[in-house]
Amino acid sequence: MNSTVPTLTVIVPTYKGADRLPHLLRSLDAQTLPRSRFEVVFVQNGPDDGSLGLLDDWACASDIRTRVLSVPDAGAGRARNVGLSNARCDVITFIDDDDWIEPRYLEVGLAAYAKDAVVFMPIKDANDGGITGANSINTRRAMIAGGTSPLGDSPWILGFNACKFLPASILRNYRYNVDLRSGEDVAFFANLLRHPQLQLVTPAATDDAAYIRQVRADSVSRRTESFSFSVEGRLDVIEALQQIEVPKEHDNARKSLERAQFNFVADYLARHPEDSSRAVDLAVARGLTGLPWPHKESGSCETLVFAFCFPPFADPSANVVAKRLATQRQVVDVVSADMTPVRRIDHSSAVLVDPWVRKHVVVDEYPAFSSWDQIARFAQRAVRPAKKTYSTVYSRALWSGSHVAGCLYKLKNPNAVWEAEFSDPLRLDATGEDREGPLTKGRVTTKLERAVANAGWSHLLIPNHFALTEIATFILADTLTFSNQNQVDEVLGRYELRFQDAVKRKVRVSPQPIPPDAAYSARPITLDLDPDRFNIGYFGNFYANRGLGDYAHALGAIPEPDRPSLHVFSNADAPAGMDMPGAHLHPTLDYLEFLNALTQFDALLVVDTETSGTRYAKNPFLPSKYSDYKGSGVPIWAMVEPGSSLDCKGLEYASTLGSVEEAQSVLRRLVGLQR
Amino acid sequence: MKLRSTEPRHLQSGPAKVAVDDLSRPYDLSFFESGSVFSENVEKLRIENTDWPVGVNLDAQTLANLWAVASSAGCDRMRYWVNTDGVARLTTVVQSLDVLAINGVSPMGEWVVFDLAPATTTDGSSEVFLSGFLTSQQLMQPAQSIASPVSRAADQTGGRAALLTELVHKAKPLKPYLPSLVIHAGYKVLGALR
Repeated sequence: MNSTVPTLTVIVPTYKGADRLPHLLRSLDAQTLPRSRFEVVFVQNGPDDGSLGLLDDWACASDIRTRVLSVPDAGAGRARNVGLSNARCDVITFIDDDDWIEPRYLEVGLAAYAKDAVVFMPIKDANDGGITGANSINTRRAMIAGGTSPLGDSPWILGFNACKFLPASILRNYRYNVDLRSGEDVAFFANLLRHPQLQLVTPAATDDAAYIRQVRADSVSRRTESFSFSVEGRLDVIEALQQIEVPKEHDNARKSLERAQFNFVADYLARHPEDSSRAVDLAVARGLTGLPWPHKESGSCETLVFAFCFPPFADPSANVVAKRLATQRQVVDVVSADMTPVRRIDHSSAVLVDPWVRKHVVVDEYPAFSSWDQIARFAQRAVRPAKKTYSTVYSRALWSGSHVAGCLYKLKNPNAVWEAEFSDPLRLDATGEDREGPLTKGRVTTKLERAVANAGWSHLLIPNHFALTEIATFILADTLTFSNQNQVDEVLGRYELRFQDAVKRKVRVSPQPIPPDAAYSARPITLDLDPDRFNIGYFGNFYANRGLGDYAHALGAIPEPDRPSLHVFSNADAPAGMDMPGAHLHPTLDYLEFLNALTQFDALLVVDTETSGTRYAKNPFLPSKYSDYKGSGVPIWAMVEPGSSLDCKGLEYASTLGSVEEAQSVLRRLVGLQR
Repeated sequence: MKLRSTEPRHLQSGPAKVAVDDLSRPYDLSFFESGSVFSENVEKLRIENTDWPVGVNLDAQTLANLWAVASSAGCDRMRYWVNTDGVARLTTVVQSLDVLAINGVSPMGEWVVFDLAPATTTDGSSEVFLSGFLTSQQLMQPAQSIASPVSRAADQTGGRAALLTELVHKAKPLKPYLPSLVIHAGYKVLGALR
């Protein structure tokens, strides 16, 4: 069909359609479009109920070019895919086997077709009461009839298979997702939004040219609501939609399709609020963001979070806050810093917090770690938008701006219950010395110093803002959360006993939360792992003078055929020693990809921060990735400093840092797991 | 797989039983006639002795299974369709399946179609042919994504031209060391592809 005028392929999927097809066949015979201009491809799917014979007989008797193909497995999407693969013409239209078309439908539709056009025809509903053109699609169509407009302006026409004439050159590149139980048409047609040049042509003169839709009780809009259909099925479709990359000008069009799907979810959850958490888990497992969860909109939000580091910025501290919110399952408002100048964007971690963050204010202030003026400005600006009074406040540091904001809020709202969480010692650096943090005068300095003085602890102050923030937080917060007891001992041990006693009453030790199970499958990633090797994963910077050295020595104890592969994920340059056999260096992953990657290894390696030779008597650091590792269910090899928090976990596969013998023993046992 | 002939064959009209690796891939299968059956599952095709069994981008194991089902039904021929998506699999397919011989090679749209028949003792080696496709495996990697929605046909032609170039480049250094029969067969393959 290489004529200069466009030709049309009509694709008809049919499933047990013997009783329904005759109506459609008669309507095809009655078409006014010349036979040379179109072909019909029937794709019978599932068991044959006599449809094949019926169609073969009709094809023999008809002068319409017809092919009758079949697919043994039932499924309209699968059948349409075979139809798409077999289409020979320039334009494609779909007709369901229980529907039919008016005599001029193909003629008018094809006449209106032009290059890069999607032709949109009218639709009528057939039911027991007869045929009517009064339906919502026609009402909306009437508003654009007779015109041509960008396809992206009318995304709603992508929500159904019927009454469209589509360019085959574009459509042939896409296929229906046969894994979707419903809504596969939306996911399929949304691919058209990838093509910004497409125009929607809506003919005005359409007498005798409508698509007749047989209205059935089980059509999507009439389907009985259930968790499976209204939530699970819709989230599947939204996942498919979010995977379609569209040009910026079509972003809103795609989002409107997502919203239309999510309306089913919202309606269902409005009637079944007890299923909200389950629905959120499914959304997280699919890596979905940007959904208007009803539980966020209804009721009041009682908790304010000050998190200097917060998704979408790639930072371990941001990830820990994300995990906290995901495990607490409580709607919060968040104030965070704009870390664009110092951190890359990682949209994946937003998946965890998206269902729980109602309002998110990003403070436009340079994200300073140690410049007090900027930290103080951040805190002032962080508190300002929090006009509402919250009953609880949560802040997390490092970076200290979170706690400074917490102090200011608590001073202004003393009845608010404030939990301040510490990831690492705030005032002390990696060697146990006071961090350098010159204090400058200003309103924030005055407020915090006055709070400390009012509590009777002004003699503890030194001209250091990290010290001021730590002391003020200890005094003002209602709960102080540390990741491990060593940290409590080391941090409080620097203060006089009386102050320690006053603070200890508020202390809570809580390891970093384990991500929800769903997070480990939210962003699947393909790793190039040798299935015949024992694969060990390490995530983070690797220092040759500790972990890697132990590993390299341990490797010598393993016969070559059994030697494992070590995969290091780090943005740092290849550390010395990475040229050892079986070592592979990879760039860091987005957080949810990282979680998924964890599950693919045979073992995961975590190495303690070494504190020997520092002022720390006990190792106060607990690697944040330990909780991520733990949630993966994969054996963990911990290279520990004696007495560290990690050491105290009593892990099955632990070796003392610097002990080659222990490292060899652990590696032998791990590799033995494979056998 | 053995090599008997690389002559282009006339592709029969009439229905076929088509085993496809993935029906969700945007393949052009519009050459098949009315009555054809498509499935990802060989057993579900219900092949009979009058059928034309066709494998589309199948891996070696599934193609072997298709042949087992087809030959037990009484078929003595089979076709194997490969496009850029299946080139990587073709390597293994040609290296294995010694019970079959290539009895014709025909280009068709985005596809290269192999006529397959039961191998006999007079069939030759497919080594040169395989060598070319081993190279093409690397060559075709970037083309695996269906990138251009606008002009697939142009891409197909370009892909085959690139494949030819690489085949010639790969085979030339081997030429002085190969028997003339093999060289002759190699030229036939190139001719068919061209």
